[in-house]
Amino acid sequence: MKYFNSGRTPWVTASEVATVEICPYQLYLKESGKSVSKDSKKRARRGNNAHDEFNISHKSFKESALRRAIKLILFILWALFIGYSIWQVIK
Amino acid sequence: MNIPVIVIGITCIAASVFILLLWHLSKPGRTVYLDKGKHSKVFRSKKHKLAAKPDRLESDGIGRVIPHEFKSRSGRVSNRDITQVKVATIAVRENGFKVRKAKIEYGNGKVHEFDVPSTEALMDGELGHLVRLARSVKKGQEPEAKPASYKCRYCPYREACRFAV
Repeated sequence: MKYFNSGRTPWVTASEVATVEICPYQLYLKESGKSVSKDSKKRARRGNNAHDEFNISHKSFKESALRRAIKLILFILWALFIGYSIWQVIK
Repeated sequence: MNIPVIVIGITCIAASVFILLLWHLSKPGRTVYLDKGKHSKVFRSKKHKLAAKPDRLESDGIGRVIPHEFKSRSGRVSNRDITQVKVATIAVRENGFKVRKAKIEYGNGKVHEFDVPSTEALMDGELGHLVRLARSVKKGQEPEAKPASYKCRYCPYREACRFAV
């Protein structure tokens, strides 16, 4: 409600723009401070649980950094071994 | 000090790092960003005053990312979901990412992938109108209600709304 009757241009979120496509009055009720129904809270909780499972199934870059570092070290050792073998042959 | 050994060793290390990095960065499907909650980065478009947190950004393997939105419900693809992803795309682009495609995944496993037009095309079209409408509502302007049973049924503010059917 902080933008109501203020001269500032408010920021809008992606979900708010999506909401007005369905019904602008829904966003108006939200901004007016109306409470959501109990059924809606239950649906939101189910949605959050599903999102948690979605996140688990998609690991982000940082989380697998250790695995990548180990892979890199092993690859370097392998490349050094190949290089040493080539040098032995040349010698 | 055996110079040839050192030179070969350094060359091998440099080559292996380069090859591995090239392979890894070009791998499509890699997760670039994941929305893990309130501490995750919010993508903002200062030019259009839009903010979004896509559920996931995925690398396409050729220098671009694909915004990936997850909807736990099963069902048809809705315009609302596409609109949400388009707004997120605008914010993601302004943070330095190139985006050409986006996808929405549903709880029943269905994935809808689509091309996203340029930001200018989006803001000049229907999306720009919706953004301005959302902005006017947030400034306190009471909008027109569009009640319909299929929409009001799942509206979280149904009990508080005098127009609900």
